[in-house]
Amino acid sequence: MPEFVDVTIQRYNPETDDKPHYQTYQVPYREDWVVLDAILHIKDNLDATLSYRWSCRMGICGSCGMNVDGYPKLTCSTHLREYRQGLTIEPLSNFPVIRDLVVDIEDFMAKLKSVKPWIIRELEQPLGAGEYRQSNNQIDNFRQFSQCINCMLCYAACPVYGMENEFLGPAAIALARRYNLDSRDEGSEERVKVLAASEGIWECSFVGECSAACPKGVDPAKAIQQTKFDTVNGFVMGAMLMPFGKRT
Amino acid sequence: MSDAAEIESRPVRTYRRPLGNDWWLRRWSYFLYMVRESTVIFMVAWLVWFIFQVAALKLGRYEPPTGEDYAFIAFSVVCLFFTLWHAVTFLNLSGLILRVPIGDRYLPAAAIKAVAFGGLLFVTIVGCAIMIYIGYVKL
Repeated sequence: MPEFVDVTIQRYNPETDDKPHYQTYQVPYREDWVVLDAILHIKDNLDATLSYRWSCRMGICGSCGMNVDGYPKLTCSTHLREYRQGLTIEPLSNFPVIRDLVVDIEDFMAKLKSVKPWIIRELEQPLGAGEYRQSNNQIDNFRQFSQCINCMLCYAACPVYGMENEFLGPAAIALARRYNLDSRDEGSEERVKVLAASEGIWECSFVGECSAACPKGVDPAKAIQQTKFDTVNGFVMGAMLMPFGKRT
Repeated sequence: MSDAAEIESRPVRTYRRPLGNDWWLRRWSYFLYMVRESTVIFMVAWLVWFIFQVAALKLGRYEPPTGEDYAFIAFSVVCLFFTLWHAVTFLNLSGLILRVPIGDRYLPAAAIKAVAFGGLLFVTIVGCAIMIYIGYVKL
């Protein structure tokens, strides 16, 4: 006799619903299934109207982030066996819900772009001059922050972003940090205008949940605190101790 | 306009779940964060009392504590605990946050932390010495 597990899913249809409601499905329990497998089973066998995002199924693309029993998780990396008594799946917190488990990511994408997450050079070398070389130590300085997969779990875990949607947010700041620490990059002064703005690093009150939620071991809270220190340090050194240093 | 383009141009109706004032009760980690933030109220209250005592000293109205005001002693101990908690958690992070470059590497976090805690110990000893000196010699 097959075993089943109750999977309760938040449903929302913008064409018919004023607010979301919950629907429970009985899904066959398999020891080796992840939560995403249960959602795929519902879509394929029980309710074809269910909407959600997914792609790679191996914790790389960052598409399948959802709240599982209130905690933001990658559903492709979260085993069903951890929720043997049943589970509730909701769209990621702090984002507008488009339909069922699909959230609007426009705000996040705009914030990512605003920190210019690419290598900025004051003067590009010609191709013939060879590659920009880095030592292993120089790569180690930013390696951790380059592991971000833009899954937005950190935004869903952050109550500051929940209260103030203008906040630039953990992933965008961590990504800015990744490029600011890159020895090939010369764009930190361009990024500081966004990072040190009122919606930037100073909004963060260090709840620390962004780092706890990250499925890739990135520490956005560390990136934010380091950026705070560097920004103050840059201001003190540049504007107060050496006010004429850069006016030549 | 094609059907697809017409559908694309429609405004998307979304639902935003309100965070609610009880958000900090939903997770233990959120609750601890609020406890940590709330301790500031105790510390500010103690500092305001301290400032009034300094003002009273300047105006010649200072009355040294008798040592029998147990409620205030308990309050001070709680404030001291909160202050030490903040100091220790803050300085524990100093190694992660402060970055002192040495060539293409950085000074180890443990070294920065050791300097930070050493500095705290030094400032505490000097501060206590000054206060004891003022208390016993000057008053």
